Amino acid sequence: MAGLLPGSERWPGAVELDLSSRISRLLEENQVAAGSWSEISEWTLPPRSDLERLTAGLREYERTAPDVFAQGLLLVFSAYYSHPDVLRIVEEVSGYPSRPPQPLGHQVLRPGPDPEPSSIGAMPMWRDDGTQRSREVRAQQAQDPERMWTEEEIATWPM
Amino acid sequence: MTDRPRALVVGAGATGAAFAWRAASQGWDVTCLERGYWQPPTSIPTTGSDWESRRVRDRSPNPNVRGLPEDYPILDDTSPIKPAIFNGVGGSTVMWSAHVPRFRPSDFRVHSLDGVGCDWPISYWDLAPYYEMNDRIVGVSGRHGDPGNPPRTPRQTRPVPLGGAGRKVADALERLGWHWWPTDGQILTEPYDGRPACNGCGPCEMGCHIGARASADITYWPRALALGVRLITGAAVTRVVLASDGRARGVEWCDSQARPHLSEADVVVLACNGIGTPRILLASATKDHPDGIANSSGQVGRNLMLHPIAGVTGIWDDRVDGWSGNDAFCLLTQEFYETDESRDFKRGYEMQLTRSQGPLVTALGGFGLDISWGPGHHERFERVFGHSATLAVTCEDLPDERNFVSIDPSVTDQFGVPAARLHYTVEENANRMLDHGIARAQRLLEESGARETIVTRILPGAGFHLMGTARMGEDARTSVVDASCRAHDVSNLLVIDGSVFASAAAVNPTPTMQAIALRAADQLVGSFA
Repeated sequence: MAGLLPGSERWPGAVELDLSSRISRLLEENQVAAGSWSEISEWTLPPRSDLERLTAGLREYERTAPDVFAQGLLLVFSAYYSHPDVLRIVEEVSGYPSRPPQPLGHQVLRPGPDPEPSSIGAMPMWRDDGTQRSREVRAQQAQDPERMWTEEEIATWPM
Repeated sequence: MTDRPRALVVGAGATGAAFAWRAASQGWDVTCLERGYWQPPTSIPTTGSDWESRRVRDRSPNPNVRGLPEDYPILDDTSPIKPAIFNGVGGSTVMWSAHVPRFRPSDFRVHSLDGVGCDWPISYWDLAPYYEMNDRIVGVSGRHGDPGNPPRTPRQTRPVPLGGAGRKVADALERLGWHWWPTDGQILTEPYDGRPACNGCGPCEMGCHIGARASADITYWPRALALGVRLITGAAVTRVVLASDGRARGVEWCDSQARPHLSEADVVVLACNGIGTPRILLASATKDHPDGIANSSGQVGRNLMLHPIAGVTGIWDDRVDGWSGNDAFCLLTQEFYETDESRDFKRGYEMQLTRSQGPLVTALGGFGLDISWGPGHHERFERVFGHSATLAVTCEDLPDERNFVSIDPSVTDQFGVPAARLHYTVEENANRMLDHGIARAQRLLEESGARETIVTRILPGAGFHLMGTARMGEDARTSVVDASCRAHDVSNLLVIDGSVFASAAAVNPTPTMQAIALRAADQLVGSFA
């Protein structure tokens, strides 16, 4: 974990957080991941005090055992990025609220009213499919691009 | 209602629900068999702190990852695009983004117009009333008046907000003079029909906790049940059974305890998606029909079309808060939708702007964000999270017999039905289209001020548009069903899902599938009148 998510001035490293209970819970729910985790625990890696060598060692396992490595990465990242301390930092740096999406939802960024496509009448029209119906509808639409058609009017087209 | 319905629908998803409602509304006695179950709002994990990790586990759109008991195996090692479906009441609309552009008139006449693929035996004009009917039932946000498409009625609610990235890209499209439009979505932006407006939570594909995003379980099914349609969940259909006269007698199915049942009906309707339907037809083989039923043409399972989709992600210096708002769309451009003889491919593509994802998926490098683990991870995360959005370049897939669904008896589900196997390769025309679309997407993002663009040539998880595997046509030698969705070989067997598509267009297929299902119900009822 130390090699996957080393800490920085702002961010805690994965080993500085107690992720074990979170990972245990994830393992209980996922037999495939549990098998991978067991395999990973057998890996021989340099000590975390030597981050450069530890990173190189992990990269080698990522190359030689990609599926197992991916499962381990998913487990550690899942535990890390759902930890309240980490989510608080995510909120600080991005504005992303440190809570689940529901039930409150999120406010969509609105720098102002959304623009309308500027040239409704000038844009190229849809392609004629070669039928009489197509030609008739295109002509009417070109004449009045903003016309409010009703369901009943549209239902008469194929008649 | 009797024990023997007039119509027995297999699959309670987008098309099965629409068909059941429409037939029942005209007095038909309908029963629907669904291998999955109802999904109560409490089952949607977006209220929990582990919501993102569940997205890549038990709420994965890929049934092989999710592995629920009601999922059936789909062998996908022979396809670069993996399946994304859901088995339950509402079908894959339970886990979809609800982006609903329509086919254009030209999409139904690709052979006549461009000399590729094949024409449909129906036209846009046949479906237009049913598109409208469907929109009214499900509720569509958007803006009428798009000159790039035939007229439609005013949308039920206003378009979804463009958001930070959408504004930038819309402005860039204006400067480039390219077509764009706020896209139609089955996501409400205002209350409609007893459902609330979207609150912008983001991950629509995990299910909508509040019901602002349409899914067939909350739109069609309450209406269908009120009309007396009988819906049996946990009912996994194993085969279609023919009578001695060659007509469909009914279906065999197993309940959740693996107890076998036989249900008979006047008409059998398959609505199991472009993988599930050919799987059942092929698995229904008998001594008299060794290649499966309704398959004298040999076309069952053939012509699988998936829409190769490239993702081109832009990263801006300022915040765009891509994690807010419905995640999969806000605008589209169809500037490159039609054939242009100056290009080295036929037909075309659309580009839709998707927003972005939550912290975990971002940290894992979702949408090709190129965030590595290890030293530098957090710096890159801060640079990307909330600063990105992705243009999805959706390319028209041409029908090709070499792309197909087969069954593989070496793997079976718990009821002994063989697994489906996908055989799929991105064909040359689509590859050239991808090259063109990726370059145009990069140009657009650069024009919008993106400081960096990242290309994912094929989104591997985008196997959600499943089309062509029991295609519609006038000629029984080259197609499986006719213009009314009746099997050429078995007159009381209908297929109404994306399997019947003769061409794929370059847009999401669900509203077209639902319009076809509604029309098929009318055609069927009319034929018995």
